[in-house]
Amino acid sequence: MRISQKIRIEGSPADVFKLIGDPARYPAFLTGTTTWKPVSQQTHGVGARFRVLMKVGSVEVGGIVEVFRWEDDVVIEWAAVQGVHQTGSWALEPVDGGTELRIELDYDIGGGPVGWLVERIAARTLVRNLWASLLAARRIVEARE
Amino acid sequence: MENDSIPVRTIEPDKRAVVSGAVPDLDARDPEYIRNMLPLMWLLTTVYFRAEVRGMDRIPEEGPVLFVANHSGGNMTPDSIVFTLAFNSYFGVERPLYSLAHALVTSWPVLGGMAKRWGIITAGPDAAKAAFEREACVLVYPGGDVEVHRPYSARHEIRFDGRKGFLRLAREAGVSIVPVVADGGHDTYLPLTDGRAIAKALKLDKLARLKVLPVSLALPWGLNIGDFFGHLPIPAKIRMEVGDPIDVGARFGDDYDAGYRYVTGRMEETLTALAAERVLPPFL
Repeated sequence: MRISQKIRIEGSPADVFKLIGDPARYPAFLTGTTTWKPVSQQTHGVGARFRVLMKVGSVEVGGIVEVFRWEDDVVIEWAAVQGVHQTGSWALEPVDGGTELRIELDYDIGGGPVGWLVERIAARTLVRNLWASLLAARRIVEARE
Repeated sequence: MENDSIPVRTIEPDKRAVVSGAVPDLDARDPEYIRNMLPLMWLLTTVYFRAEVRGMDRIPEEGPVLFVANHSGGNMTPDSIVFTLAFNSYFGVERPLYSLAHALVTSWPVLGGMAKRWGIITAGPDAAKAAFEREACVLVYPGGDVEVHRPYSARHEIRFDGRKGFLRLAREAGVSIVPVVADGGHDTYLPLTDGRAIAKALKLDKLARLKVLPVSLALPWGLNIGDFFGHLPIPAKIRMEVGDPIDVGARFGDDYDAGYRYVTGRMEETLTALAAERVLPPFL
């Protein structure tokens, strides 16, 4: 299932990428994410691996993801190498003197019809989390926190 | 002297896992099967039991550990569902977890096969050690049937019945114990008595390794004797907390009495704290 949210931020892509390009800051603004920590020597760029966990319902769900695309001020994409099958991305696009920041998650939990239902139940929480994360990102960038 | 006349007792491969302590076929655990069952477990845990799980970050990220847990709720044991989901969601199905269970669980037709795909193996020290050698984690409920069928009045007790085998196992295998404490499972039905005296009188221990013959009020049966066919649990709230690892070998050596008091005492403290969070009625 694919979910995404976007927001306009007053600031250049470079300003926004100072936050988005620093995964060490993710736990501070990714709502619902309880863990995002490097498990590889490399902490930035293609090949960096992170232990990622998100609270979904009763439990924390996640695994290890690896960044497979990293273009400064433009895009970061990752995919799971362990745990829940998922891919995700940040995309930055300049618009009218500001930046449109988009986050997208694509996940597949298996389980047939029950899994289909659970993906949609969980999506309600996840979409709200993504939106809250974008609000937090906007606040941090615009307030230069 | 020739002993050809002495019959040699052999156990067929598919029967081995029902013998306590036998090394089971650990390969029966099926990660893809578990992955596909997790959504159903999530629904049960999140929507039906509205479980809360805390302290998963206290579990070492790598290597084998022995989870020592209490459990409640008769043969339906919702605590097991909650922890199995929590572990597999947190670490991914790639990290193996084996649960030690009574031989009756693994020997059931059809259900026993499903249980083995989940990683449920017949309880016994050899089985657990074989799992540890594979760097797997093992979950044990030392209280077994005595604890899971304890009467409702004892719902806030850790009842391991003096069983200390888990301490010896952890020490000999050189693994840490991670306590897992759950509250709420006993609110899913109404256990009246564990029927230990009846079980003893009927010699159920010798016949089926059963130390209890519980009597409860449970859906859909009403009066439920034995709980052999399970029951429909009421959707009570389950709270669970994972504790800090305990190196019982380093801390207590072979003083298993001291280790037992320490581990069960710590778990009792946690259970009491969890129970204090309960709101009534428990299914709200």
